[in-house]
Amino acid sequence: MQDTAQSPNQQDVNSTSNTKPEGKSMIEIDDLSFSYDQGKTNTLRNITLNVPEKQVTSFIGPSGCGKSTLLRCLNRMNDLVETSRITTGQIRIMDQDINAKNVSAIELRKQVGMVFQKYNPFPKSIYDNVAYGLRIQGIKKKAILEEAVEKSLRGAALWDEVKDRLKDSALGLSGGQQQRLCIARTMAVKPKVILMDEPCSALDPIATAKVEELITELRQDFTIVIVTHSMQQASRISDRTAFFYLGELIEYDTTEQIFTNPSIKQTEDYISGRFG
Amino acid sequence: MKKKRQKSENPFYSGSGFRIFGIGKQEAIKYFFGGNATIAVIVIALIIGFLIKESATFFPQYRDSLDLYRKSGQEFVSFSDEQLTAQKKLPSLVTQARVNEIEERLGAIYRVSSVHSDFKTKVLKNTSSERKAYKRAKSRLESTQANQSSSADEKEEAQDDYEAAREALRITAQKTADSLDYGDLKTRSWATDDKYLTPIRNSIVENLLTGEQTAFLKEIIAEETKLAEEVNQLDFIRNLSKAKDGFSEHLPTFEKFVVGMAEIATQNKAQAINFVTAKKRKDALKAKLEITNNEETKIRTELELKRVLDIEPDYAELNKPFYGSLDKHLELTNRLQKQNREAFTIVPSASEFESKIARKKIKEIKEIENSIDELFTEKRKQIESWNHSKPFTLSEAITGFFFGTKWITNSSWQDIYGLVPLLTGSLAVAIIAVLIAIPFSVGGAIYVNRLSTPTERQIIKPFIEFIEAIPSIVLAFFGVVVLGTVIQEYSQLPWFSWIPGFPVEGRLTILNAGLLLALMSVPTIFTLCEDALNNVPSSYRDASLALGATKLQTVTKVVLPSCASGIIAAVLLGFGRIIGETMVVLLVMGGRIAIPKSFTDPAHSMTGILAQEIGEVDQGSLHWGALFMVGFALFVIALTLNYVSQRVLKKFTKHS
Ligand SMILES: Nc1ncnc2c1ncn2[C@@H]1O[C@H](COP(=O)(O)OP(=O)(O)OP(=O)(O)O)[C@@H](O)[C@H]1O
Ligand SMILES: [Mg+2]
Repeated sequence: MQDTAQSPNQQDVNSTSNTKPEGKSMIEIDDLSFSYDQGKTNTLRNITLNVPEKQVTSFIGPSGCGKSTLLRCLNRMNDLVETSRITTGQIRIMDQDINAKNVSAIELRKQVGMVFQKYNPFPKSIYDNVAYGLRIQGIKKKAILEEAVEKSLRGAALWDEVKDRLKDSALGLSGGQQQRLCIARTMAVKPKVILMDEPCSALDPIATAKVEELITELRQDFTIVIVTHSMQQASRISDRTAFFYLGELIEYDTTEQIFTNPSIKQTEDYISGRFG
Repeated sequence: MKKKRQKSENPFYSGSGFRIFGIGKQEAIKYFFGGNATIAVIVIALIIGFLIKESATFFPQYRDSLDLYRKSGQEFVSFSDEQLTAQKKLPSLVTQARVNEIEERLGAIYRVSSVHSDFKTKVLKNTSSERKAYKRAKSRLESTQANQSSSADEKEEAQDDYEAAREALRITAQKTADSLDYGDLKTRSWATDDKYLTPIRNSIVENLLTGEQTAFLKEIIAEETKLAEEVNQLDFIRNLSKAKDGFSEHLPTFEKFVVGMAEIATQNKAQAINFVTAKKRKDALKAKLEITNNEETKIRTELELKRVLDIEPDYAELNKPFYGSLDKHLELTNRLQKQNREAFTIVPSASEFESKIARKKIKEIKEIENSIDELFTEKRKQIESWNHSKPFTLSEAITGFFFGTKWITNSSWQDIYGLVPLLTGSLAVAIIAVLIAIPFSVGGAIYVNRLSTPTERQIIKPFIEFIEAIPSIVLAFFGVVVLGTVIQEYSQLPWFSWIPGFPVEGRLTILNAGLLLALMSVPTIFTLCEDALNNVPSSYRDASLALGATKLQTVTKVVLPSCASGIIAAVLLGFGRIIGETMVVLLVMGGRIAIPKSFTDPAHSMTGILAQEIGEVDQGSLHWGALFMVGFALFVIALTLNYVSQRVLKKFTKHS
């Protein structure tokens, strides 16, 4: 760790980064602190950040800085960790506090989908994978399901590759295809937001390119938050970029601004590869 | 020879260190584990070899034994005997139906004398010292009174002592009696009307002091007799009794006929066995003659050889009475059947009875009505086509063992070894147990593994694993002492009557053993299921939850399908564990060797019969061989179950 990397205080962050997004904001994170151990230590500290609608926002930062944790706060996947707590602040999605008493995590996740780092299709057929989200909502009509499956697979640019083998096991697909299938599966539920945690880290460059291309297209219909370790990827696909360090948000701005003219030295060091 | 490189020059120097007989540490470890594995394989191979060897000698022996059974005419008689057994069942069922109906109709009063005697034993137990003192005082009083020389003072003292002892006994007895309640009864279902409670208590005390039957009890018995007589006069009960007379009218003649033939067959068999032993003896002597060189022994052996009589009995002659009995048999059975048909028509319908057990008995009679003629015809056919000189084949002996429906041992008639009753008993109890265990163990595993909170998990898991630690004999004891009675009582409740086989008659049944075995198999299935669930990647769960599925949907739609074969394997292994269990089935299942008709019947099992009989057989005897075959069959079943579950598991690991 670098000696020079002192943790900046909150005022600094607020004054130096332009957190006001262009357009309507989809997700508003307000002074969020989060702990995995019942509040003893905070993994995330006082994070404030707005994600604009129908844009791609990427989270970058060194390993262990809490990017995945923040992402998993957004669809309350952290509920699965019994000892986790939100210690301060709140998260609003579509102007609703998602941790309010009358909010169901189940309903929230239908609106805020997630794609994982390691592609994880179910050991079912391709068709059943995509139809899963609709089926659990009680939709049984074959026509509706078929239409949704096709639409999602087309949307994920996978249709032409799998249309003749929809009944085959999803585990027989290549890694890149499996990841795109997972994206299709998420899209089928028609969420407003799709969270992606390093979706390309297990893929080769060609598959990565395909997924990136897909993400750029998805921007038209979905709000996308993506965690990535690849600076190039962040700069290629995202509209806005947030840089995290040791559980704090260091800088958040348009991608162009962050990559060409970062206002904080830590950001610049990280982007130029001097630490991380 | 090259010069050994110096340690310092060798960059890959393996290190000097521990070596025995030139074997290094790594190799020693390898040989140790390899050796262990080899020993395990060898031991299993030896066990299999041993089992096969023992069983190979069984079938030829069994065939020879069956051959004699046929030659001596016992087989012939057994056909008639089966007809006799079937016929005898009818009057007995009728009687049972009537007795149960009377009991039911008499209700409270019927059970008063049972309660009385049950309570009395308890009071007797509790007042033993007082009773002794009382007896002593009484005899002293009597002797002082009888003795002319005893003074008035002595007499008075004895009288006082006597009265004190009597009072002490009365008080303790009354106190004990008053503390007794219907809940203390050995058989709780004896509980009768509350109005009898105080009279019963008082009557016991009175009876204790006077030693005579009390007026209360006399009255009750008289009342009971009167009521029973009234029930007996009911139309349908009278019909029932008439039917019984019908069923048993020609029974004695037929029985006499069968018994007479059986005596002949037994004599024949004795002759046949004498011949066989003599022949064996002769063979042994001949063999001895061949190998001996000693002149003296030779002469003695030759002498002995001459003395052994081995004239083969004339089987045709011996069996003549049987061939000659065909007409008589036909006449007798025809008479029986004709009478039966008439009697069946007057058996009242089950709906007339109030007692559930009586209804069950009537239903059984109706079932027999449908099958008895067929049985008679079939047996008649066998009798007609019977031929004493047709030898038994080995394959007949083998099928006779594996498909035989009788297991009769230590019989003065003929030992028969048929696996089916034992196999069905074992399978029935295992199936019942698994069916009961599945919801608890599989459901429990799913709940603990996927749905519960950590605190719940910490409470439930040790509890389930603790069951494993209960010795099976303790469970068996519990089954005999507590569970049997509980099942018997609760099965009487009207809202259980839809369950086939209810109400349960005996305490020791397949159901009772099945419940205990279910408990025993829960930890096995639970643990294996949990393993299977743990093997499901958590990414499946995450993906499902992230799509908005509930925990329950995730379990049923994703987790379970992807570990189904693991769960099936767990159930199969649980099944294997139950099949091999001995103590519970031996003690709790009732030990009746017959194919169970319902799961509330008593039955025997393969493990149970082994445990019960292996200690009392002569090594090398036919019975010994038969038990070995049972062990072998068990072994094969266990092996198959294991193999199948391994296959299922493999399929499962391939898919995930
Ligand atoms: N389930 C958990 N329970 C407790 N601590 C956790 C849990 N998950 C993550 N952490 C801790 O929280 C911190 C942040 O982890 P997180 O996974 O969010 O980092 P990240 O930025 O996504 O790192 P990476 O780039 O390596 O994925 C780490 O110190 C990690 O050890
Ligand atoms: Mg991460």
